[in-house]
Amino acid sequence: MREWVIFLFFICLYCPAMAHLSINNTNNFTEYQHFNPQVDIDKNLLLISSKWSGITLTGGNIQYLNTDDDTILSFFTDPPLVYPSPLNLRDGGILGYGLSRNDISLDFRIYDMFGYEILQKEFKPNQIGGYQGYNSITLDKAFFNHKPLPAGVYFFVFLENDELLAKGKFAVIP
Amino acid sequence: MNLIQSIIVIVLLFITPIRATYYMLMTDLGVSAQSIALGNTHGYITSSEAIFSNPASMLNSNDYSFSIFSSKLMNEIEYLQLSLSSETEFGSFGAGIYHQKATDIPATILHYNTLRGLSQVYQLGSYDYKNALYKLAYQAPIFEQYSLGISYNFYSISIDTYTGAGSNFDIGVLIPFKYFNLSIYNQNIIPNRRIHYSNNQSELLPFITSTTAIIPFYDFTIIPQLTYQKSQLLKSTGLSYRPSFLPFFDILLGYKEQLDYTSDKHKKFTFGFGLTFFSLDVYYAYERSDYFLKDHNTYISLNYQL
Repeated sequence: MREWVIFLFFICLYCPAMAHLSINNTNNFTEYQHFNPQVDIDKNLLLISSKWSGITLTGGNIQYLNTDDDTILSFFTDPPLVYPSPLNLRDGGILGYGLSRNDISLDFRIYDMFGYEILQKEFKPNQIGGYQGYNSITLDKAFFNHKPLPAGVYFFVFLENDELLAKGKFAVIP
Repeated sequence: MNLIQSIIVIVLLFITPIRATYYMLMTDLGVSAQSIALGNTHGYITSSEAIFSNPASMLNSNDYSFSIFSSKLMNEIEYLQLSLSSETEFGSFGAGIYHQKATDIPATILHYNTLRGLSQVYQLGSYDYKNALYKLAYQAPIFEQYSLGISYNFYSISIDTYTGAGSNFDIGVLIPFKYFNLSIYNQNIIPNRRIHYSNNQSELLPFITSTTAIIPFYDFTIIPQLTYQKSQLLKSTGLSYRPSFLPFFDILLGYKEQLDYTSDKHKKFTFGFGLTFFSLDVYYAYERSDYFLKDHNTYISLNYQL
């Protein structure tokens, strides 16, 4: 019996309390989800600890409070797109995309129309291409290691730890 | 025809200028499942697909031949080849189209995001990429034993609102020797021909020359090939096995060196098989893919010969 009490005590202590609190842009509560919906929320609760990873704004966007939190997934907040489209390397262009975290190590690969990998680059965290928020990569001859790039469509993928994060394509004209 | 005449023919075919180029021929993928399974070797195909390979090998085609080849690489790029050929008393004639298509390429704009205080790329619709090669081919015997083939190529490309076009000729010969046949195939033989684009830019059409030996050995056919393309020497080998106890079944193996769009060399092994049902040949080819999201490429082609 004693072991069970200790076990339940630790379960209560370490299991995170699942609650959801929404506020509007003037910090007024708009929605509240109790830790335990079976209990009347007017009863006093002793809050031992709390940990908020973010708030949901009325527009549906998620504002994260602690970006180091492992609960925030790695994803692209803005899809990877090339401008101009189609691209010509004489004038160059940019590849723009948004990242949700500042610790994502991106493996970037480009493929030609035969399916051959023609370029691989790594974008490290907090360096060009690896910043949290919006990233703009300059696409010029140097980016492609001064290799010729014939007219065609090129396909790219962004990987993190061999998992696909995003993919896209762009066309090239001479 | 003596040895000296043979050497003259070979030399004449080899002295055409070799120029660097930036235009990518989609036929470098391979012209049919049979060809891909045999490591992109030329001169062995006898169906109407030969017009996209060495047109001199139409020598061995039937009175009428129709072929279709299709594949979709990376779930994005469609390849389709249609061809037909006919043998007449004046020689063999052939025509065909090789088509490459990719759709839904994002059209983009650059717009200033006031919240972030930076310029950001947004998608504003999409467009398609289309590339086509139209072929007309003619084959006739020369010097009694030899076969000569010539084909006219018309290239057409469209990317969004940009278009490009150009043309050139291919020429090939098939020379029989005692123990093997020799195929010599030259692509884009007129030098300095370009694809001209609507934005006043152009790309050179590449000169490519391939020399292939077709060596029958019992139930096997061994097909070694050397290709000179963009100042690089590419080696390929095909092996076809048609067991005498299963004359309607082919096992095909291949090894090829191939240039990608940036002219880097890649090496690949290929595998395939063929089945013959009366006048219909069905070929399947398989090769590994570099693409992260798809580990393999598969190809299917059908030949109908009467």
